[in-house]
Amino acid sequence: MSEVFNKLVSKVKSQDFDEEILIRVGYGASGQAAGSIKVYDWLTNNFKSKGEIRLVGALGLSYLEPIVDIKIKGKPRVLFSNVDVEKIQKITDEYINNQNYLKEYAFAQILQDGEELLDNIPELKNFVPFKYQKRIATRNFGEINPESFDEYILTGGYKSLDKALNSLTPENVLEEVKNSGLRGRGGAAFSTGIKWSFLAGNNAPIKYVLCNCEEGDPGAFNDKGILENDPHTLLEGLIIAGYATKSSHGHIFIRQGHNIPIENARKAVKDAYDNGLLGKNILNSGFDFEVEVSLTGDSYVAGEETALMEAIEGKRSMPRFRPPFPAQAGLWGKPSNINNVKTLSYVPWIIENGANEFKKIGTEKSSGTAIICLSGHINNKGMYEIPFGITIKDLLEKVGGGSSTGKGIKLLQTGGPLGGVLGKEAFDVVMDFEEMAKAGAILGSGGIIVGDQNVDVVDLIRNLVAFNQFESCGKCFPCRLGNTHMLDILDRACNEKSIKGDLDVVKKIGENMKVGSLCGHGQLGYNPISSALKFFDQEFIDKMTTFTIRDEKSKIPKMILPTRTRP
Amino acid sequence: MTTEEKRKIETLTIKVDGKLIPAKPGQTVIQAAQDAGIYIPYLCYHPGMDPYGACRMCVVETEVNGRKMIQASCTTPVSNEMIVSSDSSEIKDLRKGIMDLLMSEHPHGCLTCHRIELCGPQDVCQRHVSVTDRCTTCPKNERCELKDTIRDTEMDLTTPLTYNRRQLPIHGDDPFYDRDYNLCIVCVRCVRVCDEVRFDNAITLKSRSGVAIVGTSQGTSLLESGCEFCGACIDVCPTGALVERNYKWEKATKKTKSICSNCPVGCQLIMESNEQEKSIRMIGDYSGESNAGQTCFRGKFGNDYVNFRNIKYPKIKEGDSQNKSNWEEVNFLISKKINDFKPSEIAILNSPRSTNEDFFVSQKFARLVLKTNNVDSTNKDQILKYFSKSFKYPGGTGTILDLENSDNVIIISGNPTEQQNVVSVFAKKAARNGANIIVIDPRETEMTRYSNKWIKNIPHSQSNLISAISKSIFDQGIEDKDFLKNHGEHIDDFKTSLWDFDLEKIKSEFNIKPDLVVDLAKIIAGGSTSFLLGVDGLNDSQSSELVRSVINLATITGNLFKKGSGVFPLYKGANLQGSLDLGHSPNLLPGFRNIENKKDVDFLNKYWDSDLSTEKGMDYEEIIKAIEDKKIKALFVMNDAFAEDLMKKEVLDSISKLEFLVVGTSNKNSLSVLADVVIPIANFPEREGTMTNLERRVQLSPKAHKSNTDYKSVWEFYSNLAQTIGFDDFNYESSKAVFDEIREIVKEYEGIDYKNLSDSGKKWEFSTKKVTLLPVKYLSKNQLENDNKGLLLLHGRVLSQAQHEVEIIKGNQKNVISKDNIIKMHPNDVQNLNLKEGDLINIANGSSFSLDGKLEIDKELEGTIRYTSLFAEMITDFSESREDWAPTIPDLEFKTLRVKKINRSNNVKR
Repeated sequence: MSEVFNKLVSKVKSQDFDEEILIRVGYGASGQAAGSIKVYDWLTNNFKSKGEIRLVGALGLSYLEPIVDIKIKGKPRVLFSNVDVEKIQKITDEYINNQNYLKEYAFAQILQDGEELLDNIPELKNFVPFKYQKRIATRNFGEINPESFDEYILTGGYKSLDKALNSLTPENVLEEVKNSGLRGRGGAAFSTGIKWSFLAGNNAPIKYVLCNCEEGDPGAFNDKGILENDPHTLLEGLIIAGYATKSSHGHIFIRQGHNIPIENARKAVKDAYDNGLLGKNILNSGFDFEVEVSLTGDSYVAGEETALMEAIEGKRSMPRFRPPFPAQAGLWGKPSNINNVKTLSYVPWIIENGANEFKKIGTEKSSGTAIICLSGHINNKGMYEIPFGITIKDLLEKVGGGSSTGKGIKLLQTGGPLGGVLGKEAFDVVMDFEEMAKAGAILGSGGIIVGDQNVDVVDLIRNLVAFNQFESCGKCFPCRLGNTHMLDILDRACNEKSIKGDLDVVKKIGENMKVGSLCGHGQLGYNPISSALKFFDQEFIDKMTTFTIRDEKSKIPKMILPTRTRP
Repeated sequence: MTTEEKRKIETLTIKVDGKLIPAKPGQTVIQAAQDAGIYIPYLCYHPGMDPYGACRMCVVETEVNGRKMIQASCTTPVSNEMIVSSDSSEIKDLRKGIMDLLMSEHPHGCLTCHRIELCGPQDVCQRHVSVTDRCTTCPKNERCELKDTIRDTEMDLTTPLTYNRRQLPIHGDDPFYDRDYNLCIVCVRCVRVCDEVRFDNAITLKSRSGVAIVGTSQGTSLLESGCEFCGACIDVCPTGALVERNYKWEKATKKTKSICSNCPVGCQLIMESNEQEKSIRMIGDYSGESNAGQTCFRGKFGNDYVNFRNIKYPKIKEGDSQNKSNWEEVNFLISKKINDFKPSEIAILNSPRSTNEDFFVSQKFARLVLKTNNVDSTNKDQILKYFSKSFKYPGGTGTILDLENSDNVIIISGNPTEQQNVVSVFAKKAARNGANIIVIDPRETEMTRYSNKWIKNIPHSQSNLISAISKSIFDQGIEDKDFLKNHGEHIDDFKTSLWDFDLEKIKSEFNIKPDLVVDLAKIIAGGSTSFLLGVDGLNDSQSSELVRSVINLATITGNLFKKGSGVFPLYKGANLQGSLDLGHSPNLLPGFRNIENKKDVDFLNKYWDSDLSTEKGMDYEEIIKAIEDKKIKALFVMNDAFAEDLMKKEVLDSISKLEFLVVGTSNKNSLSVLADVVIPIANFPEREGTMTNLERRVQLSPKAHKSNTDYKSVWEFYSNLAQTIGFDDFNYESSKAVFDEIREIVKEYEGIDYKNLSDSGKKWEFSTKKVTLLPVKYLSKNQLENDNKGLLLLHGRVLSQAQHEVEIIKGNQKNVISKDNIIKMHPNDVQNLNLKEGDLINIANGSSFSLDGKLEIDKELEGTIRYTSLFAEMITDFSESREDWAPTIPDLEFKTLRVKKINRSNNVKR
């Protein structure tokens, strides 16, 4: 540990965190949505004198929110689920005053050295679905206040940065990341180390490292999750990336409307500047790095790397053609590298624990963990960091706890609207970038929406295509018009107005989009249909080739149509 | 990498469809293929712009090192031994598939029909293509790039996709343009040309996905979006979405190269003519060396007057009426009549729009036949004559297209975006490349919006600042010593004269901070600098002072005769340069010979076997005065454009009292109605001739239309007349014959081959590259104040003012601008006039100018009134005009005004 960093840490340590009673309220977006604001307000009004009340990030167990974590000195931390104002009154009365921990409300406990286990409550590390996790990027979730720089330092934060800057050369860091087998978590799964080496090989004086938190996929909330719950991990990763690639500037690019991530990122960047972790001569290592938080308007395509650069430059976010590739001429025409939030968030852990430790986790080709967002017709909705190698079935049954409607799971929708669907036949597939792609869907950013037996596949696909169509930037012809026509045809199918040959037309348009489009949005636009056809072709054939009026009872309630984008 | 460096690298070889072709590094596949004559279809690509990669029509399969990929050829750079396949069945199917999609949004019944060439607009159609959806009713039918592309993709009659007509309103209310976005294919060429080439960003891509469409970003009208109506978007539109409103449906049967004669840029245009030999469209020529495909509202829309000629035969005044006559009668009458006057009583005037041949023969006629030196262009602009004092040539240096290579562009007392538009296009390009744009002008012009330094000097004091910069350069020792040694003359006199320019004195008198002067000195000496120099609003001595100070500054910093530099004179007359080159000037003989120099006169006397008068002639302004004083009794005026000074009421009164007036024109005007003889002059499509632009490029404007034999160009008229009188020396067969004589007399034109001019223009060069550094004079504040009495209006004009609200209203069924006028004044002036902020005031200058507006206080430039109007206010006046309006668009004049408070305005809202 370098002297400067030591000084920084000691300054933080001198603050007193010892309290008789410490209550942590989960204050992530999921907690807030479930009502933790009210609980927190009640606690500050009625309980302030008796103990300290802290806000922490979400634990990831969204279905249990709001979660309140109470620690009485000498006893384990007890976690209570689905807390509302009524419950918190009871809990505080019974537990704090009467030492009765109300096991019907408590779901887990966290044991520290020398503490005695309470009965009937599992330890958090053994709690299903929590126990399947290996928390790397999300290690601080639910532990620290995302807005607090000090708390991050206390959990060992910025130690990796210090290690990288002061005891490793940029080449060492790059080598370490390369050896770890870390691959891009934004969807393309390209080796991060190799990507960085493209930029490191360019000797331009100004180079950019960009972090992409556009995250517009329905069903994916892990990028936002990291910024909501632990923004400093990302920032540390970004600075290390800047060091390894010898870059001068970094941008954290967040979609307008992701308010908590924007505020947290800005606060984190400010704190880092205030503490000498950004700017000139970081930690006395001679490395200069500037970071800025940039925003864009609502646009899904702005998450495409070149469109993102256009957006930062203040232009309409439309993808550029390649070559030139970003590593040659990216943001403002300067060499640039772009990584997803999750990818960068692994970096501090890798530097701290070494590439080999990371490589041990997961499968051979997909090392590490995947941050999975489970939503839809499943019990344990939430965000889980699961090592690669788990089968889809285990993911759904063990982690997810099975179908929430009791009707059995029919399909998974993975990789966002440009990903695909997986039917039952694919549930034995191992979670791994290659295996998933082989099965017809991509892991993408990690969002998984589960559908039960009642889901009408054609209707679901129509919705995905509608999303893609709406979000097409309108630049290249195959995407702008192809999506529009595919949506038209699926619309007809859902309204039982199909015309003969519609399915062939969709296939033809889709194949042309795949090879003809300018960027990934168009190239992958056919994915939802092609993957659905793989597992559920009969449903398409039924809907698009036979036009019998179906039984009124079996008719599925119509989804709300997204705004039509054609005049 | 610079282009030169690129050229040095050896050529690559690629294989396209089995054919080996050469390619240059940095080229894209489509460029290499096109150079080799291989056609790859495309829609969004345009050779004049950066690639975009949207239409995907140019997809090809490339193979490099065994790796096959399907890529757009417009965005894929060539690499050595690349194998390209552009016509495999797979690629063709892909193109067809994409075209299928495109067709679903474009009326296509005709496009995919094999009968397309046979049908007329009203024919009964078996395929039930409605009349409005037919190609034959599309304004771009004959020049539709979409149609070409569809033919190449071999589309058939079937498409499985449903046709969707956008049902958007047609924008036909703006000046000049009709925009029908139902026909738009969203190739975005128009938006890109507006942004990348013109830097106006008047239109943009709106919305996204299936409804992405081109339009103005906020409102509905181009008038409020900052459009300069240059027509570049129309020229690049591949479909009928953007068209010129006039002659919208006219079919072009002929295309001719043409040189625009509305300003001294001399844009190379392609003129399209219809069967009746009407000029229906002007299109910028992308191979043009003076303009690289760009033109402006004056070039694009200001040449329509040629179609409305109403002087069709020679006329002679008898009593009160002008009666039809013929050439014999006219020539006989004039030859008889001129004997009544002494040489000093006759004058010859020619519009600066005339050709070099016109000028040459006119002055020869004046000097040899009339024995007078009273010959000039109808142009008061003396700027080129000031140049000749320093350069020994009346002419600037520098190349328009080279402006983009400048590190600094300094615009002084000129308004190039309106008066010499294409010059400003390349100045803006330099700005986009990162050049410093410095504007020295108290008026707000469009270039001030691009400037990173706008120096609002006290009116008319520009030369002080420039000389102060020169002084600072010597003080800092950053002058270009080598350049001075090779090119500068009389440097010591100049240095001595700079002693007057004390920075502290300038600060106290003109409020120019010494730091600024030092900074500017560093900037100008630190990089290649181009000067765009005008003399708007300056009197004779101020202009002369400014020109010499700028040329001195350019010389001491070595910013002449090299890349990215030069002094560009911003004058207005289109061929003023040619008129001086060819001695169409009272005291300047052809070939820059001086009438006072005996050797020069002797040379011409010998060549022409003549006895030239060496009596000093009168220039334009002196001639006007002499007409008023009745010293001039007979006057010849040819090609009336640019002659606004002659058309002033008081001048016309004196002209009407002339004993003999010959007017050559194509349209009846206030001058021609007074004439004793009216000559039908050939307009540019009806004659051939060369013109010399402001970069001294001699360009040929060929004859495009068969014309009535009664229409004659000026030189033909004078040569016939001279022959009638008995001067055989005027027997020219063609304009080429005139030019051959010019080449013999004007040494600088010697190397210009008339035959080659039809392909491209050629610049004439200074034979001596020495610059006389003339001593400069300090213009004291007292002196300037004596010159301007009263409040001086600094009228500015810009394309858009984001800070002010503008409303579009319908006037005469067309869009017009309605806005509040903001008039800015210094607090002291406001106090003196007993006014207060927010008052409604009227500013006026006699009867010629009056404007109401709201008073705003602004602590700048005491003694001036500042008002900035919008370009769009002016342009609406020209849209429907059949007049020859383009050469004399309203100037941003400096006027002294009186101010009065009013209660209710008459013209704040139109």
